[in-house]
Amino acid sequence: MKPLYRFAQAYKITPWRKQVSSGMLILVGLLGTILAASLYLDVTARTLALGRAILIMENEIREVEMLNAHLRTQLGILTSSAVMEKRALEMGFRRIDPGEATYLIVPGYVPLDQSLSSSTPRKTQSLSYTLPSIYRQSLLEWLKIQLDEWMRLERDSSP
Amino acid sequence: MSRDYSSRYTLLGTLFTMLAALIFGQHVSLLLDHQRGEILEEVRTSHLGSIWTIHPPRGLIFDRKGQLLAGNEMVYEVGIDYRSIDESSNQAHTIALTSNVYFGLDYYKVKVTIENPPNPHQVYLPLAKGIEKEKVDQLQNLLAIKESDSRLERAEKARLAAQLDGLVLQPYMKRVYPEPLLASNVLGFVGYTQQGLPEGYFGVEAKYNEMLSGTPIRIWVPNDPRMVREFPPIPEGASLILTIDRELQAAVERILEENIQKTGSETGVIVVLDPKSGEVWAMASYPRLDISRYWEYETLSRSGHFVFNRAISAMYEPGSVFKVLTMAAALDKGVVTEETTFLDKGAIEVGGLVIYNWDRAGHGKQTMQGCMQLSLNVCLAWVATQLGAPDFYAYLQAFGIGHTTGIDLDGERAGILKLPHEEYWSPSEIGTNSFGQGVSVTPIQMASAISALANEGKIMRPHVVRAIVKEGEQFMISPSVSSIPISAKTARSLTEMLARSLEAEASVALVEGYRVAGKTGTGEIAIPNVGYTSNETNASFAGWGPVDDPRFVVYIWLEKPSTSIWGSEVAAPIFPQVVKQIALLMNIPPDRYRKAAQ
Repeated sequence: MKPLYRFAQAYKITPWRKQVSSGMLILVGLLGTILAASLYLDVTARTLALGRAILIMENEIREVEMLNAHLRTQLGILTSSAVMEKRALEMGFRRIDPGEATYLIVPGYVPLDQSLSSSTPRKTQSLSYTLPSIYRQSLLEWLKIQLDEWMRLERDSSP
Repeated sequence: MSRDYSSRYTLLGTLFTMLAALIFGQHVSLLLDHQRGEILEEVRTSHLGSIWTIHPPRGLIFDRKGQLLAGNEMVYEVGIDYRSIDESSNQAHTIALTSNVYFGLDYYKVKVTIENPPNPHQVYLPLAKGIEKEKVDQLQNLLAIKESDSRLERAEKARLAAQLDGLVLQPYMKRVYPEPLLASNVLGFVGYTQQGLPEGYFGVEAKYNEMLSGTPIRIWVPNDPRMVREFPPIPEGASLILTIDRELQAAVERILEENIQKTGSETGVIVVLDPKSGEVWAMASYPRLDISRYWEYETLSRSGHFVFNRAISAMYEPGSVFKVLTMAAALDKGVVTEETTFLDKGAIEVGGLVIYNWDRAGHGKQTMQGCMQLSLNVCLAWVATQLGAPDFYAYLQAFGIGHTTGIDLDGERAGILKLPHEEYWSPSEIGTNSFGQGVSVTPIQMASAISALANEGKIMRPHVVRAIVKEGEQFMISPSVSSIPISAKTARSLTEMLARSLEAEASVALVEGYRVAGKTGTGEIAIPNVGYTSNETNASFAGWGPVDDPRFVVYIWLEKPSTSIWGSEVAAPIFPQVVKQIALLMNIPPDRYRKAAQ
C-alpha cells in the first residue's frame, strides 16, 4: 500500500498534473455547457422555424379559402340566368311558350323538394393537435417530461 | 489589500444601492400613476406581438334552388411598404411603372407618393383597393421563375422582384353579385363604413347583416415565433337560401319592364307569393339599381323618384282593388251576403261627401257580385257604412293595413290608415276608404292582405328567407300565421264571386287552363294643392289561383300609365303573362291535369 500511496501523493503534489487536472475539469464542464447550449439552440431554432411556418401556413389557408370563395362565385357567374340563357340560345334552344308544355300524369310521382342547397358551405375541420407536442416544447420542457415519464415508469415497475 | 480596495467596494455598493433605489422608485411611481403605467404596458405589449382582427368571409345568398345570387370575390389592395423602399435605388420608378401597366394607377401619383411619404414614420400606405385577381395573377406570372427560364431570365426576374419589394398586394374578399340587376331590390348591397368595414344596406343584406357578416375574431399574434399557436377555426358568416326563384324572378322582371315600356308607366311592381306559406317567389320593382354600382344610389335617390324597393317602401292609394277587403269584411261580418242587392243610383253621400261611381253613372239593382264586377264605388261605400266604422277599421287592421307586414327585408313602410279616434279622420273617410282612396298601402301589404282570400282566411307572414345555413347545418324558416282576418268560408265565397266576375266579363286577366280570381284597381293620384285627378292613376291588379286550391297570389301595380289610366286595361293583361311563367317554373299543371292526378 505504501508505494501506491506515495505514487498518489507524488501525483497529487506535482504542479503540472494539478494544472492539467483542473484544465480538464474546466474543459469537460465547457464541453457539457456547449453540448447543452447547442442542443437547446437546435430545438429552439426548429421551434422558431415551425412558428414561422405556422404563420405562413395560416396565411396560405386564408388565401386558399379566399380562392375557393372566388372560384365558387366564378362558377355562379358562369351559371347565371343570363349566361345560361345566352348559351342555350346559341346552342339552338328557344324559350318555351307556356302553352306548348305537355303534362303527363305519373301515378305516385312526388316532386322533389329543391330547397336543400348543394353549394352550402361545409364544416371546417380544426387542425388542432395535428402538430406533435415535441415541436412545441423547449429543451427544458422536453427534459422535464422525459424525466417525469422515467420516474413514472420506475415507480410503476417497482414492486 | 482590504485597505487599498475598500473605497472602491464602497463606491460600487453605493452605485448598486442607488440603482436599486431608482428601480424601486420607478416601480412605486408606476403604481401610483396608472395612466403612465398603462401606456408603458401598451408599449411593452406592442413589442411582444399584435392583435389581428380576422373578418370571416361574408355568407353567401342562394335562390330557392341553390343558385348563387350573392358571393364573394378575391380582390387585392395595393399598397406601399416604406420600410422596403431604398431611396438610392430606382424602386419608386419600377413600382410606379408596374402599378400603371398592371393596375392602371397613375404613374406620377404613385411615384410622388413613394418618394414623399405623408410623414417620416409612415410604414404603409394603401394606393388602391379592389384590384382584380386576374391583374395580380398577370404580374405574379411575370415574376414567377419557370424551369424553362434561362439563367439570364432568372436573374432578370429576381432583379425585378427585388425592385418591387416595397409593393404590397394584400388579398381580401369583396361582395359580388353574379347578376347585379336580378332581384337587386330584394338582395340590397354591401357598402363600406367609415372604418372600411363591409356593411349591408337594404334588402336581405341589411336585414341579415349581422348573420351574414359572421363574428370577427381577434387573435393575439406574438412576435416571438416560439409562441405562435395555430389560429382557431374562423367560421364563415351564415349563408341564406331565399324563397325567390331565380328564373321566375328574371321572367317577372322582364315582363314588368316590357309592360312599363308598353304602357308608358313611370314605375311598377309585381309581387308573386305563395299564400299557404307566405314565401315570396318573385318581387320585381322598377326602376331598379345595378348593385355592382351601388354608389349610384345616392345620385338616384337625390332625384326624388327612386325608391330602392318599391314593393315594400312605396306608398300609394290602391283604388278599387281595395274593394276586395271591404267586401271580405262585410261578408265575414254577415252584414251582406252574395245575394244581397243594392240599388245603385250613381251617387251616395257619406259623412257629408258625395261619392260617385268611376263612370258617374247609376247601374240600378245589383247583387254583391255585380257590385264587384262593375267596381261600383257607390255600392262599396254603402257596404262599408252597413258594416260601421269600428268593424270596418278593425277588419282593415286585421288585414294588415296601416302597419308593416314584418317581411324580412330592410326598409319596409307601414302605409297610412287613419282611424276614427284620430285627429285627421273624418266620417267621409269610411266611404272613400271602402274603394281604396284616402288610404296608403305598399304593394306587399296588398299582396299579403289579398293572400287571406287564397289561404282559407289566414295571412301568412311574408318572407324572403327560406333557410339559414350556419357552419354546415341548414335551418329551415317555419311559416307563421300573421293574422286570421276572415273565415275560410268567407275566403272561399269571395274567391268564387271574383272568379265568376272575371269569367262574366271575359276579362283579359283570364288564364287558359287555370281558373283564377282577381280584381282590378284604378286609384286616382292626389296632387298637392290640386286634389285628385283622373289623368294620373295607380293601375293595379290582384289575382290568385287556381281557385279550388290557390297556389299563388300575384299583385301588379303600375304608376301613372300613359296609354290608359285603367287597371283593367294596363295591369290586368300582365296577370296571365305572369301566371303562365309561374305555372311553368313552379310546376303548377293546368287544372284538368291536376284534378285528374288527384
